[in-house]
Amino acid sequence: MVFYESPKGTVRVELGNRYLAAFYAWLLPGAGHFYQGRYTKGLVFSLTILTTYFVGFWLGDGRVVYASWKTNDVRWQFVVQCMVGAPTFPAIIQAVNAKENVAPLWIRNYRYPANDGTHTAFSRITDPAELTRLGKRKIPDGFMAAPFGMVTTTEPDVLSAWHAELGHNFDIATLYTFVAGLLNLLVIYDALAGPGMYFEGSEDDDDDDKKPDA
Amino acid sequence: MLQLLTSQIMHIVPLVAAASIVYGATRDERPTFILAHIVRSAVWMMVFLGVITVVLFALGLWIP
Repeated sequence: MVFYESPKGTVRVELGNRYLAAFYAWLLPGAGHFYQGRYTKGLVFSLTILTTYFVGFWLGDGRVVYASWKTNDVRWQFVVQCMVGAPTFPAIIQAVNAKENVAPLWIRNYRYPANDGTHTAFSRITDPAELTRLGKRKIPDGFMAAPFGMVTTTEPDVLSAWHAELGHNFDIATLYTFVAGLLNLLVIYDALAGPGMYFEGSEDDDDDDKKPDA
Repeated sequence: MLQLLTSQIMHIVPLVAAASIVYGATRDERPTFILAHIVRSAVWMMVFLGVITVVLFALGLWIP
């Protein structure tokens, strides 16, 4: 338990097993606070962070949260995005899958290959007959999977097709999901160590205002 | 003005709201103090971002 004491009153915060709470807070935003019995804060954190994350996810058509360490597509933002916990797990599963050179799971749609000649390279296939015609040449878009194939800086690729389709929303959506991850870091810390409370004048009067552990 | 309200810059408003709520709620445990922190954080962030926007806008006018 952590308690904060000042001339204005005492605040007691029951942290329980703080490390377990921090783990729950990472696993699902707000879950650590529910575990500690801090239901109101848990609800506020859960609603705020998950809303921010899923609004970003929706703006980016579900494509902005993926794990990739490929040349020309080092998705460093995912390191922060995955602080939201469970909602990002499909991206980790897809990354592990991709490392074994297996086609992505949960395929959402297919795209034309680069050298088809009949359609714009990497554009979406909407005609079911085309899927049969292209056979194994068609390119899959997996749910929360990294862009399929090579990513280059000089030629069109799947990632450039995503950018073309989403426009500025790709960056805005990345920002939203990124900020959701950053905010959950604050929440994890709050579950681990309690709120970052301070009292005005505490620097001058240590006896009145203190933050001991008990 | 309408163009500004519908522009991409307005995407920042929900983000500032979310950041203020979470930051404010991690500063205290008492609802009234949390609310005060949320309002203070939101105002601080909007002023800070507003100043940067005005400076960049002014630079944009100045730079040909």
